[in-house]
Amino acid sequence: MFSLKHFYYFLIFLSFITLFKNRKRLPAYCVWLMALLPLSLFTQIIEEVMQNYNINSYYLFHIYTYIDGAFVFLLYYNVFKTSLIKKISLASFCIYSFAVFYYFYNNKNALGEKHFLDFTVECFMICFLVILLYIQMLQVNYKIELRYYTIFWLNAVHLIFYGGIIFVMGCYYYINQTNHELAEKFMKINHFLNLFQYTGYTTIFICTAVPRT
Amino acid sequence: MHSSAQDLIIIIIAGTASILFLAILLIVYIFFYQRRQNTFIEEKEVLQKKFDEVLKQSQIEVQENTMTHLGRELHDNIGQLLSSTKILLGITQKNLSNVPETMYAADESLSRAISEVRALSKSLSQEWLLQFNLIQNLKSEVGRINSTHDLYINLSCPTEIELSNEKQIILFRIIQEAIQNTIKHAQASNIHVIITTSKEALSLKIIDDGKGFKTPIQNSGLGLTNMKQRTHLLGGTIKWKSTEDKGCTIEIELPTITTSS
Repeated sequence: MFSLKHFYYFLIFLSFITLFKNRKRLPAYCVWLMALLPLSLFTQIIEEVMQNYNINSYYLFHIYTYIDGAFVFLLYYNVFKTSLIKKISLASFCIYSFAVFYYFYNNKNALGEKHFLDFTVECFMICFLVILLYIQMLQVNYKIELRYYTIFWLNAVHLIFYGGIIFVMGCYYYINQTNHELAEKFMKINHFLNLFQYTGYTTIFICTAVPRT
Repeated sequence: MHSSAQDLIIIIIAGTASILFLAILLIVYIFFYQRRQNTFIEEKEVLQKKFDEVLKQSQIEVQENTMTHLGRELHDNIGQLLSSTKILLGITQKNLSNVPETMYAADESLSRAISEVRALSKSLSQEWLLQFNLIQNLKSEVGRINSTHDLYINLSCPTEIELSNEKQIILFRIIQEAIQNTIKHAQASNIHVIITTSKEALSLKIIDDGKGFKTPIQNSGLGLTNMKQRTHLLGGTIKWKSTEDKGCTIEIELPTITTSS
């Protein structure tokens, strides 16, 4: 049966295909997304299979979350131009890495739990990177053709996705403890934002690709 | 318990909605700010371009004035001095019973120098340029250089070119500069100046058989910079094609020519 989840997988696949097809007409930093998208699809399919066999797959999610954060950081790091912004972004990634490793080192059981604290910290880090990019954009004194400025649109998608998901993912654990049904309802916000993110990616990879001459 | 869950729901919904609202607001703000910034940069570029054109124009005007002044000085001072020297030489010849051969040779050289100075002062004079069209000026310049027998210039051009006087002068100066550069540096024996015109463009080629040079040119001197500036002022493009020991070709393309003066 074709469900929303399958549609979501299809969107990840579609965004990867459009990125792969237009890779030569898109900026070089998109290579990080080209690596991340199949990894995301692969991880989620494996997770679903493991869940079907009643195997705990949450640790896979936590590992993927860290890789996702690292790849998105690398994408932004390659876009940042001034050394100050590069240093600040690197510091934010170091803080994020330290927070995640410290948390899991002290809560080893959390790796196998449906707890999204690491994801929430990742959201904060990415929102911070988004703001840094906007600061960089405000500082430049040359013309930016927004129509083909891929990172501007990726940034917008990231801000809406990661910004919008912070509260849901941050509070999920606590809602789940009191009202499981309600927690799952709130997860729908996550699903819709995910659909938005991958639809956004697909649109960006089609629309911001530089036309063939 | 029920109340705290409700509070949490409100916090999540209100928080998510607020963040999404702020995010969209920020994106829209950056979008419009960037568009305004682009418009500002475009306007600045247009102004800068206009300023550069005015600057180039005034540089050329200063150069033209200097050349006119130089031409006048050549004609009025050096030309006069040479002429009076020739008169004195003539008087001396008449007074001498046995005129040596070297004196005739000196007289001939002096006559050549006077005509050279006259021709040069003419080609430097703006008034002279305004009186004649580019083709006539070019023919005269080519004739002057060919008479020195240092090298031979072959001119191939239409009988008339529809070009404003100002543009004719600029184009003439470009050709003069190119020929002077070839004479000074290329050790060439032949130069071909080919001008062709169509409805949309004027094409100029200056081909020499000199020693050539490596392209792209690393450190272009004042002469080449002047040529570039003058061509850009005419709204055209200039290219140097050369390889060592195989001469050089300068290609100039000018857009649609207007006849306004």
